[in-house]
Amino acid sequence: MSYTSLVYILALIISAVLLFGAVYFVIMLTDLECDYINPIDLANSLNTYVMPEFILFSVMLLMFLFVGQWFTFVLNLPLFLWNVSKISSNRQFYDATEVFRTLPRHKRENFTKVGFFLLSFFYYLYCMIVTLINEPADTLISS
Amino acid sequence: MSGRIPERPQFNAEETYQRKGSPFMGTSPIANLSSQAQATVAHPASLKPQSTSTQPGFGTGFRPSNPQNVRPISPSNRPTMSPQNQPGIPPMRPGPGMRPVRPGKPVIHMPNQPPHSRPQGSPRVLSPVSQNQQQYPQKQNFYPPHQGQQQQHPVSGYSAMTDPNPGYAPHQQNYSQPQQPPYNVGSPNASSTNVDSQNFSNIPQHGSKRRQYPAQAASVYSENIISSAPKPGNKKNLPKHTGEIKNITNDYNSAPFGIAGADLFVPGEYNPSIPAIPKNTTTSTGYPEITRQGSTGLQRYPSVQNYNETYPATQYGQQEAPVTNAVAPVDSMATQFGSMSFGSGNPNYQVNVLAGHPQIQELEAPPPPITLPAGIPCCPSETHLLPPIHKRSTLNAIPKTDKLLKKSKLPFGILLTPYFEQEGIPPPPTVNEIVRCRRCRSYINPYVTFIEGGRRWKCNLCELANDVPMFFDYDSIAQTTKNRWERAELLNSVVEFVAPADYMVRPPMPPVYFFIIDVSYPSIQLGLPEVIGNTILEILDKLPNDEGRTKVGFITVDSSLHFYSIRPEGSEPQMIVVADFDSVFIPSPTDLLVNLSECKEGIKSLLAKLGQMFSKSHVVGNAVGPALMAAQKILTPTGGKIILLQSSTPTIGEAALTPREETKILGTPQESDALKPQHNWYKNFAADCSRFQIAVDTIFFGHQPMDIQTIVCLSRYTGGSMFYYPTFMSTREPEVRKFKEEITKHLSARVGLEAVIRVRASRGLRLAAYYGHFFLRSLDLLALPFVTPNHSYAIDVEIEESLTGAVAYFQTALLHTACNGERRIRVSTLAIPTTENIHTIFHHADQVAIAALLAKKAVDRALVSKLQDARDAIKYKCLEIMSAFKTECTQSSSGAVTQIKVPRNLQLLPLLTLSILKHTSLRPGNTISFGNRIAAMASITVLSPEILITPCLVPRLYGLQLGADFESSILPVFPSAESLSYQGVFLLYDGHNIFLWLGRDANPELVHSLLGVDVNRSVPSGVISLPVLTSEEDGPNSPHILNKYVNQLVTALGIQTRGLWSPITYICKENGEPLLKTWMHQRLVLDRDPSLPSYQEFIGESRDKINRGSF
Repeated sequence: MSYTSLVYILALIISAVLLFGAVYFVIMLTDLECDYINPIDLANSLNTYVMPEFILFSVMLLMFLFVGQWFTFVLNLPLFLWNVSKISSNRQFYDATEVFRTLPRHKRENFTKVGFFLLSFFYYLYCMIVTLINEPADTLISS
Repeated sequence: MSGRIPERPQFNAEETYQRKGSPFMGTSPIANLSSQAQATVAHPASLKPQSTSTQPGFGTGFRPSNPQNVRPISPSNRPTMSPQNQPGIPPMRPGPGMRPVRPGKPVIHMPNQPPHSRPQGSPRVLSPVSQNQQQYPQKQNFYPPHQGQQQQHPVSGYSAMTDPNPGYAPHQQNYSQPQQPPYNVGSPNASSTNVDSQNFSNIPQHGSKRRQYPAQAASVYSENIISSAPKPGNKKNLPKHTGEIKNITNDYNSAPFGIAGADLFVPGEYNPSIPAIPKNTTTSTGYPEITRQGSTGLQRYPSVQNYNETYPATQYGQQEAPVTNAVAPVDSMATQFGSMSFGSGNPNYQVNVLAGHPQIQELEAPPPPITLPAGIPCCPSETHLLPPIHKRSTLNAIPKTDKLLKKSKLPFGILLTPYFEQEGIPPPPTVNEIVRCRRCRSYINPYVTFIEGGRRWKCNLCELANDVPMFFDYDSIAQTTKNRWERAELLNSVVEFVAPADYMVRPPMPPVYFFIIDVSYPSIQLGLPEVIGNTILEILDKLPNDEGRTKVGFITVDSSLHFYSIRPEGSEPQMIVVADFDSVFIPSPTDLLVNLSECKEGIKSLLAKLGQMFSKSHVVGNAVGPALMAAQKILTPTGGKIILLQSSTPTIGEAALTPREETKILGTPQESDALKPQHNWYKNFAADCSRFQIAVDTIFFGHQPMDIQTIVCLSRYTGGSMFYYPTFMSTREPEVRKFKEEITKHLSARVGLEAVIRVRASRGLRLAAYYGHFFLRSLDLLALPFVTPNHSYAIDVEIEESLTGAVAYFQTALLHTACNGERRIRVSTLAIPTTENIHTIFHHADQVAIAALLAKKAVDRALVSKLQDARDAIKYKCLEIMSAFKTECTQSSSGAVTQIKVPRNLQLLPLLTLSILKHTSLRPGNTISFGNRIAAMASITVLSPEILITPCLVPRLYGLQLGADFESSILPVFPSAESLSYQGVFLLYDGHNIFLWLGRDANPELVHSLLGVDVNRSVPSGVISLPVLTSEEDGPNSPHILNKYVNQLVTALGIQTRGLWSPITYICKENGEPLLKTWMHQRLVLDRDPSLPSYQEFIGESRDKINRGSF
């Protein structure tokens, strides 16, 4: 099995995890809107996942870079740059005192992420299958 | 039976004004029901010649052209007059003793329930009026006899049914109270009484239609009450063209009654008989002329009360009752009114802001009247209208659609001071049982409607029908019936419900005060510990301590934390020093926070020694972060208030801050970034505090950089207050006094504890954003560990969907624990009519509220975004509003104009905009330190609009001269350098400071009388404490009479600002210290500033921009 297909298998798993993460964020924000949780709890629980999410996503991007999947890399680049800009301006965390003011924006962000990770999940699945099919028979046997 | 709907009257806008403002329309509703001829006959004296001659519809705006259509006199259907309805004869009213009680069956008391709506065998109905009479005995004459009237004049049933918005029903003017209100006695109107009461009795012909609308019966019925009951509080807004529209000003200060008909202002006419303003002449436009008085040449503007008498804003626009769902003929008429060019073309209702001085006294005028349609509230009481101090809206007529609001460009929001309390104003009445709507959870209030014979009530916010609880009508303990119209929650717009245990998550907390005192070297230099010790010592006995539950505790901080263990036995307090900040721990579990009553001795001995203890200390460094964390740990079980007294930058421990370079970036675009918190520790800590019901007050001393902008987050998100004393030194007596008085006032206030505020609004309205010091716990729930009586909150309101009701409501519920340990809910309900007419919206806009809301929003924006953005936004908004008015409401809707017309009630908007821009919080330039700016921003954020506008934004300037009495000695003048004359002495008051400006040739006699000093030169420039001079000879001939008057004035100004500040007095001489002079001149908002234009320039610029259409 080639590295490329391995990377796509990993990317498939990571994007599934990120997808669930984004869904969790959306659920929490909706809960906040409906007054099921208070903003302090929300900020505490969400802020723990902000950095792991970013790291996971960056790792995936690096993997694509290593195996030379340029097109996939470029597809993911906008989200990465956007994340970097947020972190550099120290806006990545949820602020309990301001969260209601920024709630619509946060929700929009997370819905976009859900959509993006969903699409990329299927894209990685497709890429994985394609790479596996196109692999020469000997590599298949050797693995 | 001619139940014909009369034809639409034809009249133009001009007529409307005439009608609305006419003297007898204003005072005598009786005139309304007379026909043209009768009116002329009945009120020969009060009719203006041109009114009768040129305006055929005068006084009868809603009357058809042919009076015969209205009142076909047919003796057969005229009901018999009962003696009760005879004017002048007091009606018989059933007293409690006359009430038959059926044992075992509750008796429902409904006011004048129409017979048709009473089901067979339903309980007996009694009038609420008899109860009102008992409640307000001195005013009983103002209430016409409702009893019996209803049966005899069922026309009200007709009106309300044919027209859900009765303000437009053409025949409605035909009924009025048959009893002459006392304020008409003596006026020529009195002679018309007989005619009127006859007319009144002529109208029952529509009664047969009532049965079609049984569901509305109760509301119909209460409309009847309103229609015939002028409110005593209606000085200027007595029922006018229609008997049913009830007009009540929110005029809190004005005398409630006793204005004779001739005294009322007639817009557009010069009324020489106005007795209230002897000093000021009134010009033909109703404006008082500015007169020059006295040898000092002081330009005085007319005093407020006098001006109010002539101010027509409260008199026009009142027929603009909402137009919805009106049935066909009435609807067409209503449409006509709606489309009537309201205000356009009539110069008396618009003001050209380019002409002359701004009418500053308008700032103290009451907001435009809230004109509720008939039938609201359900029970007539004087207290149903919410005083504007509790809650005021920027628009006292709410547009029905968002489109209309957008078109008017006016900001829509409400400003509330939910816990407003002041000495002399009685606290709201207390109610023991809570009745709430099942769906929207709003509380029952005066604006609900009783339906189905009074067995259910319809919520005014969501219109759900709820059951009326049994105890409204029946006292199960005493086994007697009760009158529900005696219930305080149905009579008052502000009530306090006693909350049962369901509203508590834990036992009510005691008031807890925890002091964190900075004792590092900078603080010692200022002499702070001693002053603080003495001050707290004095406050101890004034802290709210109703049940002896109040607790206090202390930590002093330098590079280590000093805890104080105090024991009730009276032994000396022990100091425990903790210098390990890796994990903050509490050295002693119980005796760091002690009961004030039990441990008073120990506390006192600690405070007395506080100054001594640290006088030799040279420890640099401050560990506020760990101290705050320790305090939070100590307070977690109870909640409470941390009072942080800080005079140096926190440098040690978790919350350490690096001092930011100030001087280089002041006035540059980077300034905005520097105003943002350095890091989020304080914010997050504040959010945590709010969860444990801990509030933090931050008090800063000294001018060295402390990164106030970061630390102040503690107050901002916990509902705390912020104080800043940049020039504090223990040796400066006035500064020390200022600190002492302000802190004493602040801490001894009776606060509410562990509070939450929720505001509910009618369907279609969305409360979009909140401004103030609080923590937003959920979308619409403000969490406030401590509610300070003076704190105000602003809310942005959006119109999500079109409003269907004639009135929109805002209900604030403040759940709190009072100082005495009782859990209470303070509920206040504001009712505002809705409209579709853009003129009405403009003419009911409240400039004070608008300016306050804009200022609060601008500060918020400056803190989130940039200072310049905030300045631009506020300037843009002002131009936008003026431009929108020009396009929508004036004839010169397009093209260039030479004048800027604004509605009279918005005429000060440009001035207020300019003064917001010139306020310390937003003023451009490099002279304002971060601390001063943040403190100014905090004061804008928390202050209630009344205080914020004047003196904070627009300071008061008085010219002092030797006059016969107070009035003639202290003349209010325009806050402009133009007013200052080199011979005079002036007093400028901006809340925090008093400047005594002495001209270079100030009259020595004047100075002597004021300060007791003989020669001008011997008066030093700078801070003084205003002396209180006494002399043997008292009275007007006293040599120090001016001193007495000025002291009186300062006291009065202090009361007006609710004692929030204790001002420092400065002597500012014309040829004295230039810095002080500049500082004072910055407060003269009408003048030019290095970076901001003068008022006239600003107006000129605005005109050019409006003409260009691009701003």
